Amino acid sequence: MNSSMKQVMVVGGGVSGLSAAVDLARLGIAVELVENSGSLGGHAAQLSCKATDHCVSCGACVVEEKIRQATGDANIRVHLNSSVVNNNSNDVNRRKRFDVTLKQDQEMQHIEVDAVLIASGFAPFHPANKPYGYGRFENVMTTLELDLMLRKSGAVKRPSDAAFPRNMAFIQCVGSRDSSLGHLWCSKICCGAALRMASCIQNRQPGMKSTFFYIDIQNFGKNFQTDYADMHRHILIRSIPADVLKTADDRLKLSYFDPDTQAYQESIFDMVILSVGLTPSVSTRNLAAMLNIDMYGFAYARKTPIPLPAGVFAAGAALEPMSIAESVLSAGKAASDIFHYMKTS
Amino acid sequence: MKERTLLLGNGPVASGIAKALLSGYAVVADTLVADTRVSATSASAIPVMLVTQDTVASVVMGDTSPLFEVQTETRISHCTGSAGDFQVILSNPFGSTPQTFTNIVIAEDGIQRPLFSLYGLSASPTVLSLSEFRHILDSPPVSKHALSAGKTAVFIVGLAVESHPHLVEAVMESCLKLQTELGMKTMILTRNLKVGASGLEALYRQTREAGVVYFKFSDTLPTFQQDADGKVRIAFVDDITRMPFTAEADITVVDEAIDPSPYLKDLSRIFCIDTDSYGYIQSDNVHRLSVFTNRKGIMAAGASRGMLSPSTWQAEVQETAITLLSLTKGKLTTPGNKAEIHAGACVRCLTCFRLCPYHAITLNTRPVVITDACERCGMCAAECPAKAIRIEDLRVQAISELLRPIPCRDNNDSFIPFLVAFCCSRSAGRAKELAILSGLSLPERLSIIEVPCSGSISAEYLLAAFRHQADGVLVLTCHEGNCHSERGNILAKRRTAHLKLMLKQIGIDPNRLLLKTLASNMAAEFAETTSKFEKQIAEAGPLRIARQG
Repeated sequence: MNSSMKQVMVVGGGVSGLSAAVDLARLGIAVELVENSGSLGGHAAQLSCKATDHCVSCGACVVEEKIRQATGDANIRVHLNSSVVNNNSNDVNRRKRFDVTLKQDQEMQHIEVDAVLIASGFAPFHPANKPYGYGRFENVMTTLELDLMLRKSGAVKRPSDAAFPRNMAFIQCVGSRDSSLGHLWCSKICCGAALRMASCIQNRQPGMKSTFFYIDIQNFGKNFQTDYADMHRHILIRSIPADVLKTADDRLKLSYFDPDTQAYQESIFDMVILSVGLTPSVSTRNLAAMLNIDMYGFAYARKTPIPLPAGVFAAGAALEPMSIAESVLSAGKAASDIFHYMKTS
Repeated sequence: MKERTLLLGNGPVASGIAKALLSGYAVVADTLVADTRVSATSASAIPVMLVTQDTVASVVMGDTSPLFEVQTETRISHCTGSAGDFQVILSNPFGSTPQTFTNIVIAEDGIQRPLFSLYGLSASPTVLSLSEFRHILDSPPVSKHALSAGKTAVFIVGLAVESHPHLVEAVMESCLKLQTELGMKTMILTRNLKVGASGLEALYRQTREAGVVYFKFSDTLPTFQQDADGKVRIAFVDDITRMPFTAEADITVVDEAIDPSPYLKDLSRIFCIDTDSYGYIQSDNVHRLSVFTNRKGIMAAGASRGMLSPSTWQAEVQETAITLLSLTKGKLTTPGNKAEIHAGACVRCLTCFRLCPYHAITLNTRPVVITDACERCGMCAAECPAKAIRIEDLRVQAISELLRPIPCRDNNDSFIPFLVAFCCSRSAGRAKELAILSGLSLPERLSIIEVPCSGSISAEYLLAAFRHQADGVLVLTCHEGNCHSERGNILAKRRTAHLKLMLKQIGIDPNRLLLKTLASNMAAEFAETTSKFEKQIAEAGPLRIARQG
């Protein structure tokens, strides 16, 4: 990194932030990569590989490659356990500069940059207020928790008794497409994530049956039509369950309106997985406030995001729900926008 | 060589890329609009030649500039060389001309195919494809006789085949316009309503409030009867109430499938690019994100890359532009030793030429490695029947030097096997690193040899491991479909299977050789696989081979 280089602060060390940092560094722009947790990778680094006997292009492994590239690049300086606590922008010789205060543990540090990229990602919807027993029944988990379990232990077992589940229910659209929450957006990635996950578990733990409760199956990935044909090995029920209760023998009872029989049905499962949606993260909201951007995170329900002030850019799931592949692309666009801004400002 | 990019295509993505290059790689955000005029505005403009099969180029220059050339009615007939120096033959009705380019971008448009026949319908003034209908709706005055208040328009989207958010958006916007501006009644027949794109769930709510009626089907489908009066009579069982319904459409709008241009098939052959299962010119491999192909210096964007939404095209244009810049700056060159062909030993069997996934081997009087294009996968060296190819640090001797047996920690009597694991550095190598970081326990006497690609793991490597006192040997590759070199893992699998047969013949238990596929984030599985293997080999006991002299 040399002093004559233009500098960008990238906030967020997930797929988008890492990807943009790598792209910017290649273009000869110095990057201050700010991550509030103790490690790089964001949500993607908590996901498990969904391969069956072949890769299903979920993209989770992409982040490992990006971490490797970012940490090995001399133009990228990584600040872990750090958050942005203050920002003053000023014009020095008609050139906009951001004077940023970073807090790392208890220490404050000042950095000066020419542009800021918001890549602070999403927050998974917290389903405690949904009638699905999350937080009360151990065997009700979110998709992200299931991913982490599979990633850490290589197997899916019931948290309550460490038994292999014989059947699982996936409830889609938890916190998405929900007008009672004001969440007028489809989170895009959950159908693909849940279906790939179910096939992956079935491949590792033969005999495990999955049932999907859904509204509409959304497109995912490049090979959607092929994957769509494959999903019919699971049971698909077009209905969103009313509630989840625990049975006397520690299983889970779902009640739902069954469109086939036109009646309420009850089904028993060993585990219930909630496909929680994406919501704007707290860091995005805080940054938006600091940079005087109104309601920025709520671009989630819009077609076009709110225009940003000069020198401020955004990428990835901070903008709207995005898959890993889309985040990589979004980061490339942001890097190109920043490159153009640096050339012209 | 002076930089010049060959751009294939004639639509918005091609025009966007032309603009980006002519402005010196800097794209003004969101320029991907109907305006296809380009001008060489920047001093750092990159010359572009746009080549299209069409008779008229829709991408035209705003001003005359020698930096922008257009060739219409022209196809690519041949290509040799590599990134930085592609020699391409252009053919048109007047003849063929050779040209040289530093990079190539493929941005051919897709083809929209109306799905009338899937519903037993045929095109008529009142039965229209979605594109035709959008065209009528967008061209003033819109109040065509069929589009008047009180009439009913029925839209079919994603019924026979799954649809796409981009098409669903067009349908919802059309319905909204018909309902609110023209006082028509609209109905949407679909299976899975694709709202997975910016603002579509909100738009869906808006259409519902405006009175658009939706029927969603799961396992039954409506039947259509097209009458001579232009009306279509529709009968179906409603999915929610299970009641029979009939409807009469004054206007019926049928959705379309988006197919890759058939030209992509030729381009894939000429440029040696792997396609996906639909025929798009980018394989379904996460290492190609976002606009890469298996060929360095050849990129794919827009509807050449996949059936993706035009809403990402602007991003793809910009990503292509910065990727070209990084390429030009040499930032995407793979460091390290590259493949070398020993001319004296080469028998010109062309195995390497046919095998190289990056097309980094060219033919002069004999095969020659294009050093910059070589990605060090080692497939050529491992497969060469004459053993005429080597990558310095991947020679069997170099690998053998890494194969020092690990001594036992203490002198207890139990047998602890010495294991050698050959790991693909992109997948298993990273999984190993994560396993160590996560504090997972690994076999005590495990020697790990990382190679750039499992495609380089030859039978000689595996035999060398056994010769260096390994009691068991692991080959850990990436999953099928995830190999950066497309087929390295498949070759490794084939070789391992073959060597197992040979081991059996020479009296070694073939179970002492194991191949597993792992992803870079599978730390737990790395630990589990190696530990399980250790246990298995410990039970089998030490390998005793009669070694000569």
